[in-house]
Amino acid sequence: MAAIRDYKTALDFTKSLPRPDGLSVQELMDSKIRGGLTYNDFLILPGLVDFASSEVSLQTKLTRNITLNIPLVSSPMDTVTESEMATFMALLGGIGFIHHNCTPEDQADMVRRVKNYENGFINNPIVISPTTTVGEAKSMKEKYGFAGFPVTTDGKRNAKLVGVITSRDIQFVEDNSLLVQDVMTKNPVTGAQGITLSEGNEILKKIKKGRLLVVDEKGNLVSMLSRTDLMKNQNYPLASKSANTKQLLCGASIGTMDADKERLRLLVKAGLDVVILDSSQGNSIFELNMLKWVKESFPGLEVIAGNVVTREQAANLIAAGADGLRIGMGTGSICITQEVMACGRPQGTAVYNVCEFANQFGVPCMADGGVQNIGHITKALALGSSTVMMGGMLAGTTESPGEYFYQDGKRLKAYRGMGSIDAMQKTGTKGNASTSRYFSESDSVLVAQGVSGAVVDKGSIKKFIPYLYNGLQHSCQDIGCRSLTLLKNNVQRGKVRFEFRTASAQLEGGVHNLHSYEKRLHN
Amino acid sequence: MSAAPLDYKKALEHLKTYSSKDGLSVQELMDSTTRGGLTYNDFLVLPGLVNFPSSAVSLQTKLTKKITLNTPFVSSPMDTVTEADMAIYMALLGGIGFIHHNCTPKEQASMVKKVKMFENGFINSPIVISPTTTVGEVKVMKRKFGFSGFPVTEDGKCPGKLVGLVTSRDIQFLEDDSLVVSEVMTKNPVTGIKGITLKEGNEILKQTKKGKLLIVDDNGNLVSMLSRADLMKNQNYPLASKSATTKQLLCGAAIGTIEADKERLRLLVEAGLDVVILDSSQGNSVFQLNMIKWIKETFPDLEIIAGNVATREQAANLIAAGADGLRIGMGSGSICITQEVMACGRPQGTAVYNVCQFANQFGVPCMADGGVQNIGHITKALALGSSTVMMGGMLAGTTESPGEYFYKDGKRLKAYRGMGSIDAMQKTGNKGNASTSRYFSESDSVLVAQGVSGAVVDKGSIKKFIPYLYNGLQHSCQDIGCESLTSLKENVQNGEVRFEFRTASAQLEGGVHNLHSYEKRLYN
Repeated sequence: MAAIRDYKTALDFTKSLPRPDGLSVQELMDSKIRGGLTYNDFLILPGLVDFASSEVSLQTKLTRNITLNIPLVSSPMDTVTESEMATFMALLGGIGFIHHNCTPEDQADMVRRVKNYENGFINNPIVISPTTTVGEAKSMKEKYGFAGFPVTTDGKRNAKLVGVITSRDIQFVEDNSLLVQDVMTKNPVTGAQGITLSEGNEILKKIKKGRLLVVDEKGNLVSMLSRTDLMKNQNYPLASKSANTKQLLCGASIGTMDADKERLRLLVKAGLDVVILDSSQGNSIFELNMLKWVKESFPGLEVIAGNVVTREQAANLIAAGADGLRIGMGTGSICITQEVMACGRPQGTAVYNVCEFANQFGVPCMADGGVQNIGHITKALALGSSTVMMGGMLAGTTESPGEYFYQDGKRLKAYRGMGSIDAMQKTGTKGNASTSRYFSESDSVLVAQGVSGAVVDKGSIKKFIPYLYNGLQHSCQDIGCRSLTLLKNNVQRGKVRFEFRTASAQLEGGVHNLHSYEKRLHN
Repeated sequence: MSAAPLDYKKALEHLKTYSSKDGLSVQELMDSTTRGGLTYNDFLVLPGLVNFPSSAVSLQTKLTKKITLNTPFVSSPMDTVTEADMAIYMALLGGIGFIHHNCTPKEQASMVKKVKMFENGFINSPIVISPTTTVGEVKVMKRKFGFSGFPVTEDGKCPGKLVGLVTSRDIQFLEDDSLVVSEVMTKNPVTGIKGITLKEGNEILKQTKKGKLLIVDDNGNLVSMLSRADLMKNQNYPLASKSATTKQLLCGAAIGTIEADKERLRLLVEAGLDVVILDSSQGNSVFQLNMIKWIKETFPDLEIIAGNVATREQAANLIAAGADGLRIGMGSGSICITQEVMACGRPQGTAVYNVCQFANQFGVPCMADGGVQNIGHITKALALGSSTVMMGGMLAGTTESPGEYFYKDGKRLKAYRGMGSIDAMQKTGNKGNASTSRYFSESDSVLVAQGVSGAVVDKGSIKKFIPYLYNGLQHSCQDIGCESLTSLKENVQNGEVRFEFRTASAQLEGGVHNLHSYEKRLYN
C-alpha cells in the first residue's frame, strides 16, 4: 500500500485527477455506446449546496419572446387542457395549451375565457333587471346560493347600473309580486374600471360592504368584486401575464390543414399568445407551409412547431421560423406510436439531441411526453429543454376536463391519447385535432396511435403545481445550481455530471424490499 | 455565458457541420459485437421528412425472384392459420397464404385448387339438386342452408348438365311435399357462358331482374353461379395478388423435405400451385438442398422459398442451390420454444438483418418469419431488409383461420399451436408430415416438442385486419419519410434512414404506462 495522503490535500488532489467523477452529458448521451436513453436510465450527480432551495429561480423561456416563471406546460389534449386548466396553469406561473378537438368557435371561447380572467374580479356576474319580481329573485337566491345581484337597465352585463339587490333587501319582503326596482339599494358603491385588486380590496374594507361593483366611464357594469371571494383568493406572484395587457397568457394548438387557418384567425381574435402546430411528426411540408403562413399572417404570434425527435427534423422547422420546438414521439403514457409506427425515439436522447441543436439558435424547446415525476422534469431540463409539457401528470386533476367516476373503489377521470380511436371518432368535420395530428383525415380504417384509459384523482393543480415547483427547487439545490439557466450552462460545460443506471441500479433507486408501503408525494 | 444565438435561417447549413446524421445507421445499430442480437422491440426507426400523403405510399414488394405482391403480408403454413379460406382472403387483400401440409397430400391439393378456382363473386361450389329430389327435401334444405336457390342438374352434381332452377317462389305455396323438383322447377333459367367477367354477370342480373345467374360451359354443364345477394356484398379487391396470365389468385403451400414430399408436390402443382415453401426449422440441410435441386429440375417454373435460416452461411447454401426466396427465423414465433429447447436460434432483428444483407445482393427476396406482433414490427422487419413478413399468431383467431371458436373465461377463442407442439406432431399421420419432418422428428421414439399449443382471442375478420395493417404501414413509412418499401430499404442501406437503440426503460416508456386502467382499440 502506498502512504496515506494528507487529508488537507484532498481538494488539490481532486484537481490533479485527469477527469471529474461521473460522465459529461456528451459521454452519457453517446447513443453509439449506450443506445437511446429515457429519463430512468440515468441520474444527475450531486454538487455543492451553498444556497437555500427557496432561492432557486425556475424562470425559463417558452419561446423566443415569452418568458415563464416556471417551466411547466399543460398538453393540448381533450382530457387535459380546457379553459379551467389553462387559467390555473397561467396563474401558477406556467401556461396551458387549449386542445383543438372541438369546433374553432368552442376553442376560441375557451381562449377568451382565459384571457378575460381576472383573479378576484367576477367578470360574468349574474345580473337582473329592475322589473324582475322579488319572487324570482328569491328563487335565484335558492338556485345560486347567494343573493347579491347587480341590477342594470336591461338585465344584462355591460348595461347601465341602476342598483344592487342583496339578501337584506328581500329577506323580509312578503309580497313576492313586488318588483326589484321597488326594493333594491340604489346608488351602490362602485369602483371605476381599471382599479386593481388591492385598491378594490381597500374600498371594500372601508365601506364594510359585501360587494363592489365595477363600472366603466358611462356607468355601465363591467365586473364585480365580492368580499367572500377576496377572502378566498390566494396570491399568484408567479402568474404568467402579458406585459402590456396584464391578462393571463394563453396557448392553443391547431393542426396543419387549410381549415386550421380560419381556426387560428378566431383564436388570435380571442387574444391567443402562442400557438402550437400539433403533429406527431412535425417535419412535414404541411407544417412547414403552415409555419410560414402563420409567420406572415400573424407576425406577433409566437409559434411552437413539432413534434420532433431528431436534429434534422428540428433544422427544417427552425429554418422556417419556429419560435419554439416541441420534442417527443411515442413516449406519452397513452401513446402507442412507437409500437404501431416503429417510429419514435427514447425521450432522453430525443431531448438531448434536438436541444443541443436548437439552443444554438436560441430556439427554446419543450420536452413533451413520458414525464412521470419531478426527477424526470429536472432531467428533461438538464438535457437542454426549457419547458416540460405534461399530459398524464395533470390528467385526473380538478382542473382537467371531464367528470370523476368511481371504479374498483377508486375515484377516476378519463384520460386518453389524441391518437386513440375514441378521440379520433369524436373528431367532427371541423374539430380535426386527432385525425390531422396523425395525418389520418382521409383514412378508411383509422389506425390508433393511442389508447383510452383512466387515471386516479390527483386533487387540484393549485396544490400539485406548487409541489412540483418546490420539488424542482430542491432538485436544483442538490445538483448545486441556483437557476435553470445555470443548470443548463453547467451541464453543457461538463460541470454537472451524470451516471448511467443499469436495470438493477434502477431497481435499487426505487422503493424495494418492503412488505407494503404508501407513497405520499406531498401533504 | 453562452455566445449569441446563430441565425435561424442558417439552420440547414449548420446541420452540415455535424459529422453524421442524428441517430445510428443500420450497420451501427446491428453491430452485434457491441449491442448483441436485437429483436424488434430493441430499437426504433427515427422520423424523416413527410412530403406526401400516407395514401401515396406504395407497399409493393417481391415475394420471390419472379413474384411481386402489392402488400408484404404472408400467412404462415400452420394448421391453425392457413387453409383455403385464409389463403383466398390473403390473396384478395394483396398478400398470399401458404397452405399447411399437416394433412394428406390430396387434402392439401384440394385446398390449393379451391384458392386457384376462386373467383370473387362467383359461387364455385353451388349446392345442386337432381330432378328427382322431392319438394319436401328442398324445403328441408331451404331451412338448413337459409336460402333456396338450387340449380338442378341431370345427376344432381356440379359440374353436370343444367336442367333447371328451383327457388323459393317455385315451392313456397306447394302443399304436396311428395312432388319432385322436375315438375315444379323453372326450366330454361338465365345462364351465362363460362368465362364471363363479374361485371358482365352483374349486368345480366340487372337486366333480367333475376336473383341468380347460372354459369354453364359449352356443353351446357353447370360450372358456377352468381347470386344477386352475394354481388351486393362483394367488395372490390384492387390489390389482389393474381397471376398475370390466368388472373387466378396466387396460392402458396408448404411441403417437407422427405421423399414422400415429391409426390405431394406433384399433386400441388397439378392443382395450380404458384410457389412452394420448403418447410424446415433448420433449412441448411442436405435434405433441403437436394429437394431444391430436384424441384428446380422437375418443375422449373415453380418458385421455391427455402428456409428457415438465421445466418448468412445457411443462406449462402440455399441461394447457391437455386432458392427463389428465403424464409428467416428460428425460435422467435410466439408458440415456438426452439430457442429454449434446442439452444439454437437467433434474435429475429439480427437474423433478418444479416440474412437479408447477404441475400439481397443476389436479388433473392427474404421473408421475415416469426415474432411479429404489431405494425411497428412489420415496418422494422422490412427496414432491416426483408421483402415480406410472415404472420402466424397475428392471423390466428381470425374468422378466416381454421377451427371453431370456443369460449373460455368469458372470452371467444380459437386454438393456435406451433407446428412443433406435441399436439400438432401427433396429428401428423404417415402421409401428413408437416410437423415431424419440419423438425426432423419422423423417426423419433420420443417426440421432442419445439412448440406449444394454446389459444388466442377472436380478432374478427382479416378483411378488416389486413387493411388496418396496410394503412398503418403506410403511415409508418410516411413518418419515416419513405414513399415506398423500395425507397425505405434503399435509404436504410445508404444511411439516410436512421435508428435508435432502446434500453429496457426506453421500451417501457414507449408503451402504455401509468394509467389506472385502459382500453387498447387498434382500429375502428
